[in-house]
Amino acid sequence: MQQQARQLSLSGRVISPPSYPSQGVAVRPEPGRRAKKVKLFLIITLCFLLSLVVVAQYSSLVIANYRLSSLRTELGAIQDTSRQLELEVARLSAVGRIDQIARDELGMVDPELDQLRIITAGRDLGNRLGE
Amino acid sequence: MSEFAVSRKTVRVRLIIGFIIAIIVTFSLIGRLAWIQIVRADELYEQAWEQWNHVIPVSTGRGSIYDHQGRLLAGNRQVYTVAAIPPQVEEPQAVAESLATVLNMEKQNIFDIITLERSAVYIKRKVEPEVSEAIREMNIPGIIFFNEEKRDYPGGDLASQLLGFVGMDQGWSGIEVYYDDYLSGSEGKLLFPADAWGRQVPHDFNRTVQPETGHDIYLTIDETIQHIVEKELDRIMEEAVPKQTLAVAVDPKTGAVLAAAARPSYELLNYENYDSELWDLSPFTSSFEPGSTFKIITLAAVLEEGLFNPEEHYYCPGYATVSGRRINCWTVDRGGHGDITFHDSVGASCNPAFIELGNRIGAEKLFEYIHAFGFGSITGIDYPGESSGMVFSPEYRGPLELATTSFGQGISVTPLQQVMAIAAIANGGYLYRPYLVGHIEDSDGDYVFEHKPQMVRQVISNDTAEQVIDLMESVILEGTGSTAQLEGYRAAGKTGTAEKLDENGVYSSSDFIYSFIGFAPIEDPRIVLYVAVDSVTKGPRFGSYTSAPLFKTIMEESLNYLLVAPSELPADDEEQ
Repeated sequence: MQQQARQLSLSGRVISPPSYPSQGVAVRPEPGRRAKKVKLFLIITLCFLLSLVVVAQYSSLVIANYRLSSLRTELGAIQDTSRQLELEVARLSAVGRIDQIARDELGMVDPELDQLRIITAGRDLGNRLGE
Repeated sequence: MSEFAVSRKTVRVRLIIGFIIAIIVTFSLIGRLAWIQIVRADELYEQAWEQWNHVIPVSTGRGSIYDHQGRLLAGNRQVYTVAAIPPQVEEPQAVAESLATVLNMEKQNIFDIITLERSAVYIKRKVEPEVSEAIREMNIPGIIFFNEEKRDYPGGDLASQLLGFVGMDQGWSGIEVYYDDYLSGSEGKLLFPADAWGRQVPHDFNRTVQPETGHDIYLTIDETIQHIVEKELDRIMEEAVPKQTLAVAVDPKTGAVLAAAARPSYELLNYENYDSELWDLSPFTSSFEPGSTFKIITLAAVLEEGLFNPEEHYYCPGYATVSGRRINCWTVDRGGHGDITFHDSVGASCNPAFIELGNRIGAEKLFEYIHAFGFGSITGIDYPGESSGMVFSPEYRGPLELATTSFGQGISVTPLQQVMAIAAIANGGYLYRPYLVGHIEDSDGDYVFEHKPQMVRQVISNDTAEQVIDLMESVILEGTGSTAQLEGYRAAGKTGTAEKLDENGVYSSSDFIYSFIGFAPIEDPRIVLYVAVDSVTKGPRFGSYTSAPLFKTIMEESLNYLLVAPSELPADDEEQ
């Protein structure tokens, strides 16, 4: 017996109640409903993938930050070493130290006046030498 | 039907009410959550962060100081600070005992520190690496270390008074304090998370906010010239055993200071063991009566005013009488210079002749020139505590004051003022402002400050400057400054012997400041140098045996170092 469809009126919109197939008859889902499900699945998948991308981005950012931090530490250590070496170079090449080594260790002395010959090269001589 | 049965309508009403309550509660919670998480997020995070993390400040990496060629004069080396997190120190008594010997501190002092109710405390700052290593090996819970920097001087105590020293974190004297804002960077931090009891959270990490290094300063000082100056000052201290000796050298074309030093001095790393008076660079901060070197100023003034005739004769009886007071010439014992030209009076440094010149120009005009040459006011050098010296104010400028000022007594000037005034003569009449810092660089090598030569005013004309230079050369060639004659270079200069006041306020007849000021080579002046030797106690007591040879040695070595070509001497000199 075919059941008379009862119509429900809600907010003035007429909705037909679902009709149930009779026993033994293969029922195929309505095409619109399946499309909705697929759409929903795709949206969820997309959201999931997007969230994965976001998480991956954050993850790579954290890794990059970590690398940056260790590189900064490394740079700081290298700069420290550089400063220490600069200090050591300056200490070894200090004029006072060289003077002291020359006098005390190598026995060097200032030249006496008779050991000096001051060359009073005039501008003309300078020019001639330049030629 | 049961008596407890309720109608479907009642159930529905109850459900609706329950639902509404649930909605209200939920939205209230959401609202509260939004209030906390969004509106007050920053404020609460800040409060929470302060509770989670404990902070120990780390001192700054101080900028370095170089000479004008980029040679390091003051740098930093790594040291360590030993700190404690009191809640983590398990046995304070034993810890204090262990640390006392290594840190060279009182046990009780350490105990008091590590038992303070604080999240973190310093025990000892800036200890040497070997000390910190010894403590590290003890592996004491609650004792932490962090890196700091400490001033180090590769050139030893070279230019100690000029550079100045640094206390724990900031400059206290010299360039270090004058440019402290540039040299000191921003403070760093050592952060570590801790629980409610202040205990460090395990498996978490400490974070160090690196201190930002200060800017590097490049001085106008030349390390080699500074070394030459200090070496010679040390030699004169040993040979003549004076109370003090000093020297200052500048570039006359720019006002850049090339070297400045005084003896006795102090050790930069042991500054606390020296009298604080030795911390200052006396050529900038001390003033005294200049003596005859000041005659150059009187000479320049009368030449500029056209009141000086070099061929005019003057008779020096060995003294001059002014306002009833007898003022002696240094030749009084042998009856004075006698008949002398004004040209020769410069080389002979005749006091009465300069008193006469002072009278001719008058007090008002002479003091105008004195002020124009920069005396009586600070030069504006970038060094703390500069002295302005003292000259007579208009109401005190009587005949006696005019007379004594004419030959450099009765007034007080700094060596720096004198050297800048003579630099003005050497460069053709232009007074420059002296400076010590050439430029300042940030950590990227970009200039944040650059000192350009700054001319203050033209004091005398080029012609007058040339005439003064000729007369100053005669002082060295045939006058009192003959022992300052340079090998291979023409030089101009003037000797000075300033009388000192004794404890009774009377000029001493045996205690003098011997000085010499001059520049070379005359044809293209590269260095203006002032030297002074105060109260010689050993050997000959004449400027010609002390200050003039000191000038000669420093100037010769410096010009040779600068590879300045020897002067072109007149043909007859060359033949000799």
